[in-house]
Parts: sequence; C-alpha cells; structure tokens
Amino acid sequence: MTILFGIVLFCFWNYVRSAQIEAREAFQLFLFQSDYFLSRLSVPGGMARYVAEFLVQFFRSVALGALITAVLLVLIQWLSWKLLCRNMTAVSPSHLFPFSFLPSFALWKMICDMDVSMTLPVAVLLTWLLMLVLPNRRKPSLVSSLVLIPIGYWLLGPVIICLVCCHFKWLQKSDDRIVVLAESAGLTILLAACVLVSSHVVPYSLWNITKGIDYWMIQSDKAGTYEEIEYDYLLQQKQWGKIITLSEEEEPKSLACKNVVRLAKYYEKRISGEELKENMLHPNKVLTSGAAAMMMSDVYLHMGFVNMSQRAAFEVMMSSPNYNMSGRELSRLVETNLITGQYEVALKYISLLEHTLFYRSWAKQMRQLATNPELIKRSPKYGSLQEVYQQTVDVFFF
Amino acid sequence: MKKKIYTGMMMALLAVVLSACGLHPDNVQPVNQLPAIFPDYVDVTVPVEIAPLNFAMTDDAFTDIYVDVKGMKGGSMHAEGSYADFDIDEWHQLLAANKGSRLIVSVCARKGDNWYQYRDFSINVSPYSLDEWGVTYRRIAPSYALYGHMGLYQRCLSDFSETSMLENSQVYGQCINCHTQNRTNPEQYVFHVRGEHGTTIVHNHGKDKLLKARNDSLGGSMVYPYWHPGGRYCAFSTNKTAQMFHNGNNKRIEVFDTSSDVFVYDMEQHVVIKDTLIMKTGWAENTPAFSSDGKWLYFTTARCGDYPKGYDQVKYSLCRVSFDEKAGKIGTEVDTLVNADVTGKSVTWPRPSYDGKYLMYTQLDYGYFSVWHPEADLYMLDLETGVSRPLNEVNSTRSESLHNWTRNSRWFLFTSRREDGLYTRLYFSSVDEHGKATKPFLLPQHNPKVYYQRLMYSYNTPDFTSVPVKTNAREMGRKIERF
Repeated sequence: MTILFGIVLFCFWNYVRSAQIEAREAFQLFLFQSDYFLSRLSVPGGMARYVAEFLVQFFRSVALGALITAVLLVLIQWLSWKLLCRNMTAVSPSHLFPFSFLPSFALWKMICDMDVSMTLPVAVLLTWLLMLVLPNRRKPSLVSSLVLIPIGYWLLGPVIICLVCCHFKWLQKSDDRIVVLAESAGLTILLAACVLVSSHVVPYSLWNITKGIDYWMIQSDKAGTYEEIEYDYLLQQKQWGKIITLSEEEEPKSLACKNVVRLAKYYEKRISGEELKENMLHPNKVLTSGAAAMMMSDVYLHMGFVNMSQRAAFEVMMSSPNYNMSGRELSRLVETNLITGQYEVALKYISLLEHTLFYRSWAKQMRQLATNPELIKRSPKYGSLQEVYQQTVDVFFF
Repeated sequence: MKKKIYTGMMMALLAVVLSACGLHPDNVQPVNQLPAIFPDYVDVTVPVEIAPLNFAMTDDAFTDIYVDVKGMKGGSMHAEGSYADFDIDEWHQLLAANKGSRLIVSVCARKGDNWYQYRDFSINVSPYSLDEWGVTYRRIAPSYALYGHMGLYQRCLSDFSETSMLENSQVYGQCINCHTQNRTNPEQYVFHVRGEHGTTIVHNHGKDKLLKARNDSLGGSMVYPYWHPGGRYCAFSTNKTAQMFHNGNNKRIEVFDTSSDVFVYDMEQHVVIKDTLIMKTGWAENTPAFSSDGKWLYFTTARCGDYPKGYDQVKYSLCRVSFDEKAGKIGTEVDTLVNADVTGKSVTWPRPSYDGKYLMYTQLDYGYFSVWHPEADLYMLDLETGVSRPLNEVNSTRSESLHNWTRNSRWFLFTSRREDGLYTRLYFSSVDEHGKATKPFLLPQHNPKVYYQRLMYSYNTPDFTSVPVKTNAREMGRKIERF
C-alpha cells in the first residue's frame, strides 16, 4: 500500500503538477557557502529550511523533483504508522494503518499551494524522526524532551510542538495523570518561551515565527497562479503548439499568459512580429507576480528588449515569497548584463552561481564571456542581441 | 635531566609546528608598482577611530598575502593569510599612536609558487577625529517597481558590528525608508513605512509618534525629511513619485515626481507650516535642508512638466529662503544659489556642513534621483564665497550621492556605485581647513572582498550617528502593524 502510495505521488508530481516542481526550483538559489548555511541556521527552523532547499535544487529535473517529493511524503506516512503503533499499543496496527496516511495527505494538499514551502514536510519528517527516538519510558522521555524541544525548535521550527503533544500519551499509560499533565504543561511553557525569546533575537514578527518562518511564505500570493506557473513551464520547454492549444481550451486570465500565447502564435507564424510588438501589454500591468515576471523576462528577451527582460528578472528576485534569490533569474541577469556591457555586475552574479550545483558549469562559461567581452560578439545568442542593444535609441517609457 | 630533555624536545616540536602554521615568503620577486588591493586603501586618510582596514588582493589568483604595517610615530603590526585580517585592538593602538601621522603598509603576495613584494603604500591617520559612534543606513536591493527584503541598520565604525534597527520582515514586508536623525543625534529621528500600514514615525526624546503616511492637506505623503537644529521643526518634501524606464543606453530607471512641494512640520504643535514660496504652482520644490544655524531653509526647485516627454531637460536649481524659528514662519524672498539655467545641470540633496562653512550637493544632468545617474557627482558650495566646485578628489565616473556630515564637519560620507556600476557602497572622506577632501575609503568589513562580492543590497540614505540608536524593533513592528 505504501509503495502504491509512492507511485501515485510520483505520477501526480511528475505528470500532473510538473510545472510546480520546476517553479519551486526557480524561486530559490541554493548555495554551497558557509555563510549561506549559517544564515539559514540563524533563525528558528533554519536546518529544516536548509535541508528542504538542498533537496529543491534537484527539482531542476522534474522527474527527480517528483521522486524526492514522493519519497518525503512516503517516509512521513511510514514514520506516522510507526509512531501510531508505538504510542497507541491498545489499537491493532492494521486499524492504525489507514490513519498513518493522514499527515501525508494533508501535506500533499498543502504543498500544492506555492505559498507553502517544502520546509514544512521536511520539518515534519525530521520531527517525526525525533519522536521515534524518544525513550519509551516516561521520565527519560521527559528529560529528552526538555533537551530536544529548544534544540529541535531552533533547527526545525514550531512543528516541534508535536514532541510536546507526544508527551500526552503518558496520560493513558500512567496513574499519575496530574503529574503527566503538569509535565506536559511544563513542556508547552518551555516551547512557548523558546518562541517568545526567539522573537526578540530574529527580525521576524511573532506571528511569522509562530507559524514557522519558512513553512508559509512571508509574502503570500507573490509566486503566481497555477495558470501562470503552467504557461511558464510550457514557455521554458518552447512548446508553442501546446501553449496555443491550452489557450484555446480556456482563455488565460493572466495578462502575462496572454503575452506568452502571442509569442507562441508568432513562432507558429500565426501573427507577424509587428502584431506581436503592438499587442504586447504594458509592463506595469503584466508583472503582477513572480511567475508572470519570469515569463515576461523570457518573452522580452525573445523579442530583443534586453532592458525590459532585465527589469522583469529583477522583479522576480524582489517578488520571491520568502526573500530567496532565484537561480534562474540570476542567470538571466548575467545574460542581460553581458548584453548591456555591465560586465562587473555580471561577474558578481557569476561568482554566486559558481557556488551552486547545477548552474556552476554554465556560470564558468559565462565567466569566459564576462572576462573576454570580445567573445560575446561571436556568441550566436548574445552577439546579435548585443548588436541590437547597442543600436537601440534610448527612450523613456512607463 | 630526562625531564629537561623531554621538555626541550616538546618545545622544539611546538616551535616547528607553530612555524609551519605561518607564512614564510621566500624567493620574493620585487614588483615596482603598488599592490592592486580590494578595497583600494592605498594612500587613503582615515580617522583614528576607524575599524581595521582589512583587505585582499584584487586578483583572485593570489592565494596568500603577507602584510606588515609600521607607524611613522612608532608601533607595528602584521597580518597574513588569504586576506589581511588585522587584530582590532592592535589596530586601534597603532592608530592612536600615529594620529596625525602615517602608517606604512608593506604587501607581499603569493600567486602560484611565487611571492611578489610590492611597493609600500601609506595610510594617513587624520589629526581629526570622527567623534561619531557609527553610521545608520538602509540596505535595499537596487530594484525597480517591486521590493523584497530591506532593513534599517546601524553599524559601529570602530569595529565590524552591525545590528538591525528594523527590517521589513517585521512589518509584513513593507517598504521602510529615509531614516533621518537630527545632526547625528538619535534622540530625534524620523523614518517612513510605506504600504498597507504606511506611516511616518517620529522619535522625539524617547517618544514615538506615528503620523499618517498620506497627509490630505498636502495632497501627498511626507517624503524627504531634514531636522531643524533646534529640534522643534522638521522640513519635509511631499512628492508624487513615479518611475519611468529606459530601453537602452545602459540605464535602467528614472525616478521622477509628477509634482512636489516643501513644507515644515512643527513637532510640538503638530501643525504643517505651508508657504506659497516653497509650494509654488507649476514648480516642483524638493529635498529640503536647514542651515546649521536654522535661519535658512535650502531646497531645490524645477518647473513641472508633462513627463516622460522632456524629462531629460528637467533641471533643479538650489535655492534658499529664510526661516524664523521663534515665529515658525517662512521668509518672504527666495535666493537662488545655484541656477540650473546657468549651469545647465540639476542639483539635488543639499547638505550644509554643521559648522556653517559649506553646502555639499549632488549635481547631475537632469532630474533629482541621482543614484541611477552615472554622471552624478558631489559638489561643494563655499557658503562664504558662494563659489561651487566639483569634489574631484572623491568623484568617480559613476554615481556619487546621498552624502552627509559628521557633527564636527571634518568628515563626510557618501554613496557611490564606483565598484560595479549598480550596487551602491558607502565611502568616507575628510575635509581639511581649506576645503580640500581626501581620497575616500570604503566602509571597512571583516572580509571585505567576500562581503561586498556577495552582498546583493545597496547602501541607501546613510548618516552618522553619535551614539547607538536605541530601538526595539519588535515593539516598533507591533506599533506599525496596529497603526
């Protein structure tokens, strides 16, 4: 049953929600740098976030991303079953088994929303592991909890409250119910104190800290709608035919998606270049979300509007729901700065991308261009765009 | 005897181990040029209180550096490793011993298997102290219309410690800006929060007052502030700000006002002091600043237009009008100090020195939002002679602006994009008795090359602060959220 659950999860993320897998990766930049690691550890839940971001970098491959997500949720289900069996010994394991799916189902539903980060399932998984290693006797379990709650809170975030809840199980096993209640209350106060103290040392509101700094995005609704994420995915794949078909099935609501449809029609030779330019919507109206800005950065670069592409890419970095950088858009900024001749800025971004797993080799190629600008002219992609850019007469536009 | 031999052997072993830990430049090749280091601290002048000027070789191919520093009045210190990382206490002792003199810095650096010895350079230790504790600034990405994470920070100038005063993660991701103190005194400051809980926060001797961000009687929000030295008044501009974009020419954004005015806010009576001289129809008054004696209100002004057409012809002049502190009244006559029609250039951010001698401003080709203008340079107006001159000692080919003075008016800070053309960094320079500025130096960091390379934010609206700003960010965040 668990294996079947895993297969269903994999198929869902690989075939139904593939666009979202790619979008998650696009909204972060995982750096192999000690200060990046330390910056994550400097806030509650930072270790869970670090692990989650480490995993999400592999989402560049949709299949790998779907596999990782499926494995995460399957592990949570399996650990849930183990915990249920351990803590509810009076109930038959076969009766408990269906209930073990509930946390995974809930998380599955939650992470379909881009405003819920992968940090949450990772934090749940690691908390479940901690609960599993708690001693099976009350007093040692209490002592362990006293140590694990502050440490676990800092590393995994407020989901560590499950560890507190776990202590209530002794109510059914112990005769000293008042003592157990007092112990549980003590653990609750300890966790509350951790949350309160942390709100004085980290630059987040108490509300953000209580709900988990990176479980839910700080800036909600900034990533974009699923429609935008889906069109962006197809744009990345340059599936012009599919974009047009999708738009014919249902007219896109997002203005950025409408622009993508126009670009697709241009490539499918249904409209001319002039028609494409004339109908391109106003940038201020189009850049409504991170996904919309990502799309528009691509669309503008396809059309040779380098400054506008650069602006859209920068807006993505600013609209990141949890203040993360975007590897994809940082790469775009490298490209636009190479084209516009701002090589020092390009090198600054390149040096960051060189600390990643998947952008490193590309960044090294770009370093060659940034340090030898004459090579840009010979580049089939950037040479022509640079030529167009240099001939562009500068005008103001809104 | 055996014990002595054993101890001797251990000492010898320890000596070998310790010596193996240090660098030993050998077969050193002399190079007849100054070392290319980051930050460029060659021949800069620093105040005695400044944090260690740690530096690295600009070229990443250099893996090690071996630095000796000798004081002309005595004392020395040494640093070695991947970058010059000076001990803070030793550094301060050396600077204190050499106040008004020079440090001679000798740099030897390794590239591959070869060591190179460069020509020595000087660091001048100014006879003038900063007499300030540190600096305050906003850190923000050089973004377009949207904004992400940003914050107001304070930084001690004697070491590398930085603390946040308020970050927008504490106030639901809103924009926070323009933290302005009264003559570097944090007992009085003002800053703005934009967005859903938008407000202007006035801190006045321990009390916080939150004012409505948008004042209907002004037709806009309170934007660029400047305190009257007496502390009762604060001048503001009220701007209807918008953005335009460039489609080429290596430029990105143009920030402009469809309209703007200047007014004075009475912090005691909580009334707005308006006058048609600084709110003239058809003109855009902006960037107010009081003179050091509080008797004059400086501002910039330009004719309003219908933009974007012709915005590259909009040039602000520098003007002043008298201000009667007792009556709380604006004077009757406006003087033009720098006339844009004559210079053909635009003036922004007038900042008078607190000793009343000079007024520093930024000059650019058009408009007023100078950080996006590479041609923006610092200028200094001698208030006694009325003569302006470009501060060529500190200007670069990229944008310089957002300057301000220390209380003793011997030092000033400014922001510049000279490093890469986009990210604004904080520089310091001093002014001698003849008004000549010294070569500026970049705000020191513990490992400056790595720090600035990785920093994806710009320094914005910096100012000195005489003592640390006492803030309770959490409490302030709560107040703003409730507003």
